[in-house]
Amino acid sequence: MAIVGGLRARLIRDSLFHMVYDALDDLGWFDVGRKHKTLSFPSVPVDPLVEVKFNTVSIGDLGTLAENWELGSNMSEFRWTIFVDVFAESEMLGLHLSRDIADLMSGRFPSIGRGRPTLTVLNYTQATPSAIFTCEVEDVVTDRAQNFPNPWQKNWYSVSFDLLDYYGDEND
Amino acid sequence: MAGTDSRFDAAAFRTAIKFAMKMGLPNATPDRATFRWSPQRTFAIEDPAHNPYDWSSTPKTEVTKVDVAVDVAVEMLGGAADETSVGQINNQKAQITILDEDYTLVKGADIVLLGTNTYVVDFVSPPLGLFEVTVYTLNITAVDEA
Repeated sequence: MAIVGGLRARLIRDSLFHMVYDALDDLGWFDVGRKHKTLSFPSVPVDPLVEVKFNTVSIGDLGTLAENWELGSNMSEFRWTIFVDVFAESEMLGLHLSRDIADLMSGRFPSIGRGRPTLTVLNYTQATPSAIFTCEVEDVVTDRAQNFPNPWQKNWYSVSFDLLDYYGDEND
Repeated sequence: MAGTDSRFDAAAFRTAIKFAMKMGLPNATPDRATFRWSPQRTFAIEDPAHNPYDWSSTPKTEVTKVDVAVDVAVEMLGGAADETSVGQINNQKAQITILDEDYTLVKGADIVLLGTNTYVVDFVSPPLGLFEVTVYTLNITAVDEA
């Protein structure tokens, strides 16, 4: 029986959080002794209007666009726009970190297991989570804030992309 | 700490400031500034933010604190315009001034109730020193307006 509804969305979000965290860890971003402030990666989006500590990475999501995929069934493509914000201590660190995130989402880091633009979704409701389905990653875009009203937004970089999920109903 | 000076009577200063704070308090106790801590819960199976996937599940651990009310001065700052992805939102903002002895009682609280309205603590400004007295300022934003 397929997982649908809100639980499916939460499992996708949490799988994305774990994947990005683990990939940045594999790239050494959380290692001690590096010559930058420690990275912070909260599991919920930060409020950019409230002071954000330097070197904070934050995942947020926008709307979902559904498109019928198959005539005569509920099978649809769900395009979910995700963004990863980087509030960096410097321009170069923000550029480095945001482009690492963009390329790991695009599947350009096979050395750390990110060789395809996909996201494997795990069922975290199980004591030992197992893979249950895969989403595709498309339209990876990097951007940075141009007009920053607050000091912590000076090196605010952002990576956005679409997660494509395909499912019909819980009987699939 | 800004040091000490024999010409400054810290106890008299604290008493006078708290007298002024009490003078500005609303008469009805529920309307006075009340500090609240969100419950801290963990679950056997939970997401990275410690939310359960099954909202009816019983917490594995739960830490709650009772609300605390102390003498404060509240300054309403009006509705500062916050630019968001869905447009400009004018959230009511305020500053709360607390003396050091009372701040230790409410440190870490993430919610402040002012009357029937709920505010969240955005950040604590750098403390100000007045010889051995330290004054704290909490910057808060309304999340609802009854």
